[in-house]
Amino acid sequence: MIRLRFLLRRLGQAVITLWAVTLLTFVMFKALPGSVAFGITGIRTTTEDIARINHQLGLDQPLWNQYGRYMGRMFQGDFGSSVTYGKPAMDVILTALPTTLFLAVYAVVLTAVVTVVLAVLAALRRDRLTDHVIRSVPVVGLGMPAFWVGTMLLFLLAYKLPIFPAGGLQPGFVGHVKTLFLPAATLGVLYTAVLVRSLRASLLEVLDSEYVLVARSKGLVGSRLILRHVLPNAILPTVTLLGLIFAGLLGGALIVEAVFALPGLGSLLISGFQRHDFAIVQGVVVLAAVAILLVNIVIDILYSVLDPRVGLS
Amino acid sequence: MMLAACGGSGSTTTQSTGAQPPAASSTAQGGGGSSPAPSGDTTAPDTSTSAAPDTAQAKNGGDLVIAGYQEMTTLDKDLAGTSNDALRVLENVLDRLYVLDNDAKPQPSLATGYTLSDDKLTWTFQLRKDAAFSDGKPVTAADVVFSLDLARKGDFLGSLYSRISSVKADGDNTVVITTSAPEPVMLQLLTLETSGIIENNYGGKSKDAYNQQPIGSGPWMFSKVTQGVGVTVVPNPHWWGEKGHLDSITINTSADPNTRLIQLRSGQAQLIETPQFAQLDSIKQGGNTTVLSFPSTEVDFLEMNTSKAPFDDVHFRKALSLALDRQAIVQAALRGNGSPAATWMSPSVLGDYQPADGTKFDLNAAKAELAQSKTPTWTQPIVLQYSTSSAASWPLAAQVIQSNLQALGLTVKIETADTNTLQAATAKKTYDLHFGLLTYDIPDPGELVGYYLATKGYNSFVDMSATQKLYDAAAAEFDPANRLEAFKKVADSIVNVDVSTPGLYTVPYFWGASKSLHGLHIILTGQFNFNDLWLG
Repeated sequence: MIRLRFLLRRLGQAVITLWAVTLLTFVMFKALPGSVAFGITGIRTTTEDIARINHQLGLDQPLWNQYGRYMGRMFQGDFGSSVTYGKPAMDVILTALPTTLFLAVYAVVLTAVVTVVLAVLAALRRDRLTDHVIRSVPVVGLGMPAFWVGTMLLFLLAYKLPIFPAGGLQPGFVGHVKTLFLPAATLGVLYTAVLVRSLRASLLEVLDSEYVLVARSKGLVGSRLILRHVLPNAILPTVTLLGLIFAGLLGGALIVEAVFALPGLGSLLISGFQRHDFAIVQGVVVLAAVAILLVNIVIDILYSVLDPRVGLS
Repeated sequence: MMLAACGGSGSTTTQSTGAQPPAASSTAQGGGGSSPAPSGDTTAPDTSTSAAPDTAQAKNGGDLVIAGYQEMTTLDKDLAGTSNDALRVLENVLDRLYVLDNDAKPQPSLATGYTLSDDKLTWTFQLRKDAAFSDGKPVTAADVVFSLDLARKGDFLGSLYSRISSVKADGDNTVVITTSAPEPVMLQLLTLETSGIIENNYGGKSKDAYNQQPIGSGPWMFSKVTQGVGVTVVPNPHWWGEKGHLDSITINTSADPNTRLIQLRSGQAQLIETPQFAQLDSIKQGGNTTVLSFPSTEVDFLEMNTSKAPFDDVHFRKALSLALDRQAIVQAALRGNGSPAATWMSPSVLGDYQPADGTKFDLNAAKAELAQSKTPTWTQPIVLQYSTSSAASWPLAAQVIQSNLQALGLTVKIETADTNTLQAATAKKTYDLHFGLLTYDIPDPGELVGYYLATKGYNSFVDMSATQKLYDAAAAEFDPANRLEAFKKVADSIVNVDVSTPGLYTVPYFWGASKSLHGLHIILTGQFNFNDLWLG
């Protein structure tokens, strides 16, 4: 009952937040300089072109009128038509979504696995060489821009050692696993540095707690102690961070998608802005907002599942 | 329709009174697009990479993968010009009444020929009787009428056909096109991808459904289209002409030039579009890869805002042009892979003509012109802006220009901004200097002059009355030799009278290719015939 009330309350808040997102995006987009016509025809655009295309798209109407029509259509699931793709924006977005979703899950899973393994190793070998190496090496990832990491991985693992494809997206589950490994690894390199240090610190805190001391005194050691008693109590902050990373990735991993030639939401968002394609931009932003709101609700619920002491009230 | 976002400005101009409608689309290219252009004149660049005639015996079979750089967002022929890759594919899938041969001359394809009435207003085209769409349906005059009417009504490019007043079928195999005024470039217009022939009434499908994977009667047909990834084409079994050599051609999009290079070096792609100048040596030294270059029509140039000081003075503009060391700009920005240009009217479409003194670098003459201007001692910074998604050569070109003008006593401030911001600055007439980039869609000098006049001198807001008169005479000229001479005078006027859009340099097309690929020949306007290609 408490969970249902919590869920309804959070969903209500989410609807208000979503409305604010649509309004904010609409206002900000309208404040942008430029025009759709110029995005299509470039330097040879005439004022007649701009006026004609604006009229066709209803962009010469008052702003409140445009927003009202947009919201009216959105409630019917219609985000408008993309001027660059020449078809409904939601069709374009939903075609790109699976790539981004797959990449986000892949990156989070890779990051989580590597983070847990490294953090546990570091915590168990506290202040020894292993700990120092694990704490310092991933930090290098923080100092490297995504496009450079991606390009280097492509150079090393797609050209020098041709293990993976050099960008692009192969169809099917196996094709996705193969082609999205390097992009997911690129994202993993960037996120692991932060997460390992965070999880290691939590693990050390738990390892120093009294109940772990008691467990040890009863002879509980090794992986059983770590996996059943330490990790579940230390991992909450990491779950939060992973959730936020996942939600952020659902809006598109802009640079990584560009480097690896992936047809995801990030690529869509960039071209939407460049070409003044409001329907695409608004659709991706709303979708990303929905994802972030839902992931946050799920994280809150997950908290209470992982640690029953955390209430939902 | 080689195009893309222009790094320069956004036009806010009105159609000049009396300006002839553009003959065909021109386009702005940004982001270093499939660099069209130059040919030649003065400083021939290192041509060691130029494509040599391929005399080897063609082999059949094989699957070619091309890494392009612009996503094919739509295969709607009216909109496809926003992606060079899309229009290249469409021109091999959708047959047209006429197509360009490798020398960029219109040749009959779906039409067997034409007759033109004495008043030059009625064109009658006879169609082939053995042409069929890739689904087996015969091509009829009704399909041609439907397709050309679509082109005329196109939301974005319909204005190209503004002189055409009607397209009618006369039986199954004859099409009659009437124009409101003589149209000297009719055949060239009919070679454009927007003139591609599709099935009447979209073959009974909706427009959106048809354009997901258009059916044409050209030598190739779509077998797979994946949004954001690319397309695959295979030979059209119903093509009336000689078959191509390859089993399939896949064109994928890779926006990042480093990724395209790795795809070429790893063998994932056999042909990559628009390698960066810094990558050319690496590709040449790759062992199994090479660089191919072809003349193009690309010219990069400057746009001066003549609606404000100091550019409202023609002497100031002349001084600026004379102070530009275009050869140094070519060396720095293109690593020598280009030629100085006097105007955006490509020498390639002017019989290799460059207006006299248009590329002259003479600091003393520049100072003399500056002394004659209203502002001989201009102390305020001149802002040179370009788009963050601009041609790759512009940042370095900007630095050389900054240095050149410093020698003239002028301070240049370089700024980058997104394309929309630049367009807004143009609309408000607040900018000083912008870069511009143009390529031709049809190999006729009139095309870009039409747009120049329609956009108030590519947003330079200059008085073009002298150029307008010369253009009116040139645009109506049917005789090729006379037409060429007339447009040379137009070019002279743009360079010596208007002086608001000085040329900087021309750039050839560069492609990175596997040595196993043969037969590639890029036409002056950027397309190529898939049937020429083979692997071996």
